[in-house]
Amino acid sequence: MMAFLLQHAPPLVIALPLVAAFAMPMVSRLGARAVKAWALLSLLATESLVLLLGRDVMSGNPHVYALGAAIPSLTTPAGYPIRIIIEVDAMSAFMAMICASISVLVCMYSLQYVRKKGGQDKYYTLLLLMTAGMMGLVCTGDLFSMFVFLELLSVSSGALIAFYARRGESSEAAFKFMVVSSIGALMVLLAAGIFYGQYNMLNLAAIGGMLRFGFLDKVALVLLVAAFAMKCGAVPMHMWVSDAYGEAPAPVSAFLVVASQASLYALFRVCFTLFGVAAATEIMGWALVVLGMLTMFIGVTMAIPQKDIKRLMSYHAVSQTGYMLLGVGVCLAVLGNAAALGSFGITAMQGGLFHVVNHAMYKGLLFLAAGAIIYRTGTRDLNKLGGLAHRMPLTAIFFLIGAFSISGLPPFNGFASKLMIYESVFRFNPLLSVIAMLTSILTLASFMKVFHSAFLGPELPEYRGVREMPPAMWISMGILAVFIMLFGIFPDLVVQYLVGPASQALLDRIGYLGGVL
Amino acid sequence: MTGVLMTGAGFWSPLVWLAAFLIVLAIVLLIRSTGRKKFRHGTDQTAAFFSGNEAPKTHVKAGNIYWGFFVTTGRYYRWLQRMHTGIINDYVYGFVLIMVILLAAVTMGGLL
Repeated sequence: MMAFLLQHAPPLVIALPLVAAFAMPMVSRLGARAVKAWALLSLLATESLVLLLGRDVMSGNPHVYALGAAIPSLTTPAGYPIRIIIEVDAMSAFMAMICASISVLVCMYSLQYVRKKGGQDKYYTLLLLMTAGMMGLVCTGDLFSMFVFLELLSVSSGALIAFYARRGESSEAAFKFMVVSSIGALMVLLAAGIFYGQYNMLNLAAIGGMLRFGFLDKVALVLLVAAFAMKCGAVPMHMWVSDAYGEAPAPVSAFLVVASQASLYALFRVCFTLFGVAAATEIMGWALVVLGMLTMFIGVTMAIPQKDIKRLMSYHAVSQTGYMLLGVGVCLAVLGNAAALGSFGITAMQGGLFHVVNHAMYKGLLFLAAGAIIYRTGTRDLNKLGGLAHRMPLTAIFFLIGAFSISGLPPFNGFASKLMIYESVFRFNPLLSVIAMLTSILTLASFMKVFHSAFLGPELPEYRGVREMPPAMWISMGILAVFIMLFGIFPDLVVQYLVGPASQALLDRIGYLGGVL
Repeated sequence: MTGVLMTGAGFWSPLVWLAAFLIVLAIVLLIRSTGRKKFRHGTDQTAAFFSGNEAPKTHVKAGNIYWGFFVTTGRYYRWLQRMHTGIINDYVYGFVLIMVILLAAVTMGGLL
């Protein structure tokens, strides 16, 4: 049974949340409790499958699955790849584990958070569709499927951003998100068309194997990089982030962070696997580095003056994406230089990827803490908040853990990944490292402002009746807080068993291509 | 060795940091325990010292924090505000701008 599940796990991790979403209208006939139980159980089953698959993949067994083939491993029956092929290497498994884990915690938090709101069946259906979209995006080995899953992710995310449709701002944010997402997805489709016209192939490994890097390939590279950079919120294409994250329900904001990271994965996959050293890696690497620097600095400086707690955190999400772009960008820039790659390039990439998983956790925790504040006080305006630590001490502690982590204070996980980025990037260009450290200081300053405004000071009369958040909410936040501390105290184990194999898989272009061809 | 992260140019050991933190904490608690124990809650003995005056029970609101920073960096923030118009057309301009720059860099980079 286990062997059967493991063999068919690559399509199942996508199909399970997808089927669960389509079954939701029938389940909703049984009542609200059935809807919640169905969503949580489906996501738990997906998480179990992803962990099973991830354990196998991380131990050195990448999975390749041809959909519709008599034997799933039969990828090239006629000498070239046909059918949709799912390829899960350590990098895909790393991302899938992040997506699945956060989806479960977000669902658990939502059980309480969206209790009073209408349309719960639609909420959980969209949450399941988002999960399916993310799983598909990080597991597929096919460029057209990547476009399809990107669209699935965008449409479900857009609908969830507009969940509080009675607020005009939510509908406006969803509209802007859909416009930006549609343009991005169109560019991905155009790039897929360019490849199909030239090589008659849509499989990433097959295209990578035949790539000539002519003018049209360069155009396709630019289209893909620009589209995925916009979807992950790189400056100056970041403006949708503060609208979308700020207006979505808090658990959806936490999940949107992971959705952006799935786009970041697609960006890295295109640069390292599809193009690799054949492409202008130094130019593209520097492009990612410059985008990363702009993203981290403009993101954090835009965050500091914000008075809306969720909008402030949205700009911080933009800023943190800059660190990931910086780390992985440095690795891409030195990809053609074996000495520099071995000396600091791989560490820079590992720092960037380590920051991906850390960011998913601490930013998730911070958005959920902001949600707890909004849930109990009914306001998101920092000017109206104050003294909440008297009534919500647990939320204050969780917020502080997330704030220390995002600011890169030891011994939290954010410190470990940032230290790897600082030290390796310093050897590439010291100025970049200095700006990255300055950004961390500004991040700490910004979160001290939020902590002071919301939690410190005398108890305000209007919040005298406020209570601590309900159990389902603090349990999911508690799990995130525990993992933040564990990842901070044992960073070497995370790098050894998760980040190391993922970075190795991203660098092993031949291995990825060989899995299919 | 478990708990030691190689960071490229050095290493980071959170367990050693935690041990040092606990030792410092123990010393702080030890010093604190030598303090006067007989005091009355809710009196001047536990009130914050405010130059001999009664400490005001006010809360500095978020909009007033870092006032000096924003005054000093006013020009930068005015530029940032002009950039963040909230108009969807400007969002797309940013995307087009980056595409053009990347295309120029990638195609001309090959010629150099």
